[in-house]
Amino acid sequence: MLEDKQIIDLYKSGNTEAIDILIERYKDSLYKFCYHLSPVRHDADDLFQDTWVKAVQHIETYDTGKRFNTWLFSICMNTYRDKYRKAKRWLDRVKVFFSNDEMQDEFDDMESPGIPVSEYMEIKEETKILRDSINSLDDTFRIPLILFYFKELSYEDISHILDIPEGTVKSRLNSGRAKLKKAMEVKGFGR
Amino acid sequence: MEDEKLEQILNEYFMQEISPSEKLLKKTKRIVQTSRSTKYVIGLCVLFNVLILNACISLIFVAPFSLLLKLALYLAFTGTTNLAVLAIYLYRQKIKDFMIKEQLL
Repeated sequence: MLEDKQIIDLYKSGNTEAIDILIERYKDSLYKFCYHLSPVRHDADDLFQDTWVKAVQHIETYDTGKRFNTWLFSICMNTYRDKYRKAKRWLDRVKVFFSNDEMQDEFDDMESPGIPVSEYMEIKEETKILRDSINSLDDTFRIPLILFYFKELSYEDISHILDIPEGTVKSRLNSGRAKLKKAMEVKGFGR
Repeated sequence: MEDEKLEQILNEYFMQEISPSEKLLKKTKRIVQTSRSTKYVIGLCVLFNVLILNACISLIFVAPFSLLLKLALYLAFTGTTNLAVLAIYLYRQKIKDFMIKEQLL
């Protein structure tokens, strides 16, 4: 299997289709990140596309000594900050409110083979509370949580992506967990 | 809620498989390819236009034509080259296929 660095070299030397290999390789992890960043599916799709376009446009600036996924996630993060976070908060809320159909995502659509309907409904409700609670957190705490629970990134990677010291990452994770727990309890999780 | 319980819930939540649709992937790949070729096409257009402008400036100084004719010539040159570049861009895939078929690439 070709390494990321080799694929990028191929791409730089004119083999434009080489980038498709990278898109295939990182499609799931990047999309998952976009999806958790932007609760509306349509925005997640746009963010995913914009990230790849920016990555290709700035491929010359990629330092081959660093991990490609860290670089890619940084681009995604900056794109999100530039384009999406600037949107007025009320507008986001209105969009989320009116896009309940779009929110019929993988979690909601999951089948319930072998478990009673009441239990399935309970799981579904809890998932919704969890998702709403995560989305209600400030980005300062929400983004480190998302990055951390991917299990693909170390504290060091997260600190590079967010451009903050590792100690700050850890403290934001702890505060994020505490705030999330509180938000979930307020919303009635587990009752 | 216990910390361990929260940890378990978060792990389960973020472990769910979420994949982009095939449609989105295809669109992304197409946009990424286009975004790079667009850069080259713009560069090529700028280069051609600068070359023609230089040629025409020289022509204006030396040619024994009327100013109107020189202007018409300039517009004809730029129009033709820009259309040629645009045509190459639009038919890039067919040109590439042809060159591969003829073993030129």
